[in-house]
Amino acid sequence: MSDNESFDSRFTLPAVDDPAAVEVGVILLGLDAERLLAGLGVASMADDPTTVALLVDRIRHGVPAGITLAGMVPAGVHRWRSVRAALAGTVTGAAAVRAAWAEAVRTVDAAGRTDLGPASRAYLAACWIRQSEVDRYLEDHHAVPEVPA
Amino acid sequence: MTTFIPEPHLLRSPRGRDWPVLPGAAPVPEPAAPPRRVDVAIVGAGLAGLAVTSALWHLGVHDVALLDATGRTAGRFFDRVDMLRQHVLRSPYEHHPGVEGYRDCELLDFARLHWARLTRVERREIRMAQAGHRSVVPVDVFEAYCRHVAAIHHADERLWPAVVRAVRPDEDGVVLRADGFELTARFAILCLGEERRAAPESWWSGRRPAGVGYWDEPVPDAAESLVVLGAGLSSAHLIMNGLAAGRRVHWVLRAEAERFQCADVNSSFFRAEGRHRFDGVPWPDRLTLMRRERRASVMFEFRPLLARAEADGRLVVHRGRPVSAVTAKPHGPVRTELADGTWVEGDHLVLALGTTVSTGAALLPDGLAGPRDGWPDLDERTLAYRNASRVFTVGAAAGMVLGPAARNIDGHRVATARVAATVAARLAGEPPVPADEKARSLV
Repeated sequence: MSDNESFDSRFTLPAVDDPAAVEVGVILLGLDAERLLAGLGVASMADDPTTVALLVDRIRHGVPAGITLAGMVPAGVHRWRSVRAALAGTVTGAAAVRAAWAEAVRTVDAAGRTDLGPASRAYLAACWIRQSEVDRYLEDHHAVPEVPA
Repeated sequence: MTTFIPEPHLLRSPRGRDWPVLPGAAPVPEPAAPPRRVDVAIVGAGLAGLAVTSALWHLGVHDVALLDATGRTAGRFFDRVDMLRQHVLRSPYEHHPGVEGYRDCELLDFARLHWARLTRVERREIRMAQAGHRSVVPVDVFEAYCRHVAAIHHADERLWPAVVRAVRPDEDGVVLRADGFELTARFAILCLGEERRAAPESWWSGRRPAGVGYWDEPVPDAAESLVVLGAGLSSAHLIMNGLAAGRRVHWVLRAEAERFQCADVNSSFFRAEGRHRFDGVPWPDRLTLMRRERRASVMFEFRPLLARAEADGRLVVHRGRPVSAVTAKPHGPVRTELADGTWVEGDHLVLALGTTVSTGAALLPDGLAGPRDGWPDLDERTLAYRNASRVFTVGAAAGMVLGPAARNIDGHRVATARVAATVAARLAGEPPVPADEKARSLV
């Protein structure tokens, strides 16, 4: 851009009044596949995805919680496989993460599963957006790696 | 020139929110007796101690004993901010005791994960931080995050309440003497923080007069008028708390004027433009810079509030007034005598004179801290004491190595990176000491 060209320096920040689930969803969709599957594996234990995300963080670090990462990921894999076939459509890859999130949640809701709580719904939406990484993880990992100490 | 005056409403932030309890999380067991021998003993479980413990955990150093007088992680820190009713921190979201580089949840994302629990103002501050602008961090969020950091790095499991009285290093290890037990460590890390600065001895003789308190002590409910002596953030909180309680408040400033500033120390000391002002600079010049940069300051957010209170007479500000003495009669007001012969009276005087750095000299054998102008003699690469290579420090005591921001949370992070890496490498290179070896006697 030359110095003579006009440059509009205005910018906007994402809204602060959108549903909290959107903000949490934006964080979730940035997590790696292993953590998404681990969270999906225990999502039915908690009412909200934040609790699940922090629980996974604790368990990744070896905090005793009556469950291990090695047990959570297979449960998530099982859940993902059981639901995925019912998720119709394709990921459009919208550049705006909030738009992508809203689209993924609509996809999960359209599956008509009435047994999904907020945390399961959020983790499935994140897995749906990140389905290529999730599927690659399933192909690549025969064993659950440990968190780097 | 860009003028930026943050609004006072940024200071308001809820405290004591109901943070979620994680399902399946086992309660931290009551600690057993402290171990007799560990790889690393960390003295002080404040924000610096928590940062060091967390970094060591990721480097595979898990045999750690965290010794703290309060028996809680960051216990004194939160006791202090709660005593002052300080609800936001002026450090940015990037500064926290968590660890970078291991995909741990960082403070900003922790706050965003709890979006539903945040006020609109707090949410806007997060957006400011995301956009790279200066913002404040709610104490409530920060404390919840510290609890998370302590839990995931097993700090709570390795924490023992202890008042450490002596640290005695030798060639093979370090013996720490606390009330009721001794502990031998291969390395010790002193995260001692800062103590409140006491009033000059010339202000009174004998015991502290009745009606005189310090900033980290409660103000009596019965006090109808308050005199605050100090120039920093604590003073501002004490004044606003006093005004909110309906008290008449006098503010005695020994400096000529208030000093308003976003951060108490400029964090640019960890950027290139700041480092060149400190690295390789002669000691006297560093001392001068430390004195200049560690001056007390008040968050900009207070400025309109204080100005309004002064304008309507609820607050009387005495600028440029050195203090000569403090006197009190039984059941009478406290009199703060000023150098010009006048005085200010109130039911209660709060001294907010700042803090002094705990250098380790009180714990280490005489002369071993090598204090020079009040600062410990440290290896600048590792932050080990030059005369005790198994003892390190993180926090304010590293000020003459890292600069004025060593006392801040970002300073803890810089120091932690050096100390944790050094300790982990040296542990990896040394044969372990047999577990059944008896603790040695004190040197």
